[in-house]
Amino acid sequence: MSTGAELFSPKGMGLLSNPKSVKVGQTPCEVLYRKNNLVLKHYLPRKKQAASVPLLVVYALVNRPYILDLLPGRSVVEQFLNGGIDLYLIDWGVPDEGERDRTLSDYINGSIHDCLQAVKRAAGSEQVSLFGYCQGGTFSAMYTALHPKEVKNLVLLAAPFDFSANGSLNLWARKEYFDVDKLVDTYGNIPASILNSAFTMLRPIYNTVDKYVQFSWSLSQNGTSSDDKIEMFLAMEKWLSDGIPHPGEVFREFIKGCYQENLLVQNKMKVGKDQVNLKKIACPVLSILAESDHIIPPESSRAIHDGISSVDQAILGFPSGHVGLTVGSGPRKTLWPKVVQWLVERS
Amino acid sequence: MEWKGAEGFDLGLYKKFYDVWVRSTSEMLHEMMQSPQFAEAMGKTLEGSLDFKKQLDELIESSLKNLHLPTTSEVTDLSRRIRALEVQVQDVSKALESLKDHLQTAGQPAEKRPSRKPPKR
Repeated sequence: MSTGAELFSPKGMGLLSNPKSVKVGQTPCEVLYRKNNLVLKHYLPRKKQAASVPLLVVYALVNRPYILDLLPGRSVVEQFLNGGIDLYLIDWGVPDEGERDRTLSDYINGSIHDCLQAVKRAAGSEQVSLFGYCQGGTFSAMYTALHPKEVKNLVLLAAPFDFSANGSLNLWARKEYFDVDKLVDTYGNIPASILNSAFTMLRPIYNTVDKYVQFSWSLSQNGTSSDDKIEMFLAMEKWLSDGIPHPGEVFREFIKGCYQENLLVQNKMKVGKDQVNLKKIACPVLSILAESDHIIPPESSRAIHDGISSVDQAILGFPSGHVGLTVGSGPRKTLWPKVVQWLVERS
Repeated sequence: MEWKGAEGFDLGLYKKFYDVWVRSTSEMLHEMMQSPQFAEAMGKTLEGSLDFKKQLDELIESSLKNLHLPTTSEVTDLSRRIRALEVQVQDVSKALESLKDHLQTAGQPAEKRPSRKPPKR
């Protein structure tokens, strides 16, 4: 059992009394490009480059990207930098009313394309590798299918492709239950509170009761430093409560085309005037799956491998949840070094 | 080391009981939420809340108009116009940058210019 002194060390006490003081996203970076709310970040290299091709991280339009750089020692960004990869990240920022009408094409053929060109110029590279997390992975795959010559390698982290797979979100979003037009027409941008309610309901007991009980219980047990546990717990809570609205029009297109019609795996999804044909993806592709993912069923992520024409493709499964892939200690030790190695060998 | 409560009870035992409760309740809720009936009820609840919000928005909009104050739709419209202007300014800036690069290249001595094939006749 922990003593009172261990539980309430100055650092732990300070964090508990002021949860917002926990610092996230601390890895040093510079702003390479800015357009309205979007910021393209370039992380400062830590060692000599092991890969000549830069890596561009495409995050989802849901939640903040600092989950990939939550705390020192719990950071996917650090893993890439320590592996000698030249790293860039698209932070979409907080959408305002002016962003409600932006379409899927504006994001994919506009923003992602502009950022990729900026990375190419900055790195002096002919091509860029893409790394997409969750919805950002779906966007990255769409971009690669539409602009195959621009992308050297494609890495997908828990990204959905087959929306007919068995999963609560896939069920709740079906058109017979969910009127996405009414939601977008009423709200414009979709408030974070609505998105968070849906995510909370995926695991209601865990999200509202159990995680707090387990946290309190873990503090009372012997083991790793309580300060670290407190800092990690509060950083996660900060991220979970720091949601951002989802831009409206692209939400409508994404829900209708992907969740309700499942067009992407049928090669019928439209981005602007262009039809996305996954067969046009021929570059090396690596999919990373969370085997206990309650948000994106692993079979939904696997589906892309049935449709692409890449000769060099691989799937890495890991026994964790959707977010655990990025912040868990297990993936840090065994998963991310493999991903870095995969990229370095192909860059 | 076991954690004993103030009266000497073994809290570990309560924790085990709690864990069983969490597991069984979560399984039950998961099964319920995977049912079409739940999805339908959830959709109807959302639609009801959207109807309410729409009526509330209309009420606020008309009240603001009567008070000669800017309404949400007017601010949204302004925001769209500003965004459209920003996009235009960015496009013009991009075109100017490209023109500047072109002029700089054209101003360089011939040996430094990127080689160009003569136009076909």
